[in-house]
Amino acid sequence: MTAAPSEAANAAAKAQLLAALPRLRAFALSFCGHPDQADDLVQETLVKAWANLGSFEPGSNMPGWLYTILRNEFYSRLRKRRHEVDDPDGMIAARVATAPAQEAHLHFQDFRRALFRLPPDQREALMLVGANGISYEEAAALCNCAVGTMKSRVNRARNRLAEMLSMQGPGHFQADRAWATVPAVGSVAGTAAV
Amino acid sequence: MTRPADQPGVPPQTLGLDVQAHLGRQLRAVFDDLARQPVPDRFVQLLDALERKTLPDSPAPATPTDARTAKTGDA
Repeated sequence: MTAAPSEAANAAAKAQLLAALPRLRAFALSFCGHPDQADDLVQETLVKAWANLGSFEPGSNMPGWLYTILRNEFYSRLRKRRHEVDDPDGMIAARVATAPAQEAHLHFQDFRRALFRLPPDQREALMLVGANGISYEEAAALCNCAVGTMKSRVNRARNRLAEMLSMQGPGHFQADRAWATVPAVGSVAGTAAV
Repeated sequence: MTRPADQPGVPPQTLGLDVQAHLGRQLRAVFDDLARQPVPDRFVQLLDALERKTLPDSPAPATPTDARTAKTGDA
């Protein structure tokens, strides 16, 4: 244990935690989808982070450190709750209100619903690599897995999303605008290609 | 966006680049949406409380480590 933090160090740590909060919360929401659970997760993360500030090296990556605490907490809770029920329709993402046009909003909701149907590890991979532009190497380090595993998760997740949204293959991308009104399966010749 | 290299165990990349780009945009939009939500006050209050707990409350800066461990139970 290092020396106890000074008042100034505490204030600095608090400022860093506050700055990291919006994204930390976004990750928590993307993990569990339910606002209450997500906020419990964030709260536990903050408490643990504060209690372990002594083990955080000043100047190193605070968001990454927080993320590691958050995900450990999430997965340990997941292991305890074997009956974890995915509830894509009750998730926060479906209720988030910032979508512009009505049609676009519907597509956006379909996307989010599909996203939350992915297994947590695949969704996490997409959130890190796809949404945040984190390198495979860094994402693998955060998730404590091999780089190849991370690449594999991202690929599987992308393929599954595309499959759920009927946008397989380059030629079918345009259909994405109107899939709700089109008998999608019959027209998607490339389904077997995956 | 970088293309993952082919590796054993990695499913073949069958998606077109336009599809990948579309998914990437949607993913960023979802994440940004989540990150734009206002942070509840309770977290700010929690951090304030944590900060207060770790401050030495007597004027003499006694060993703050002791102060910290002694006070962890009162939450």
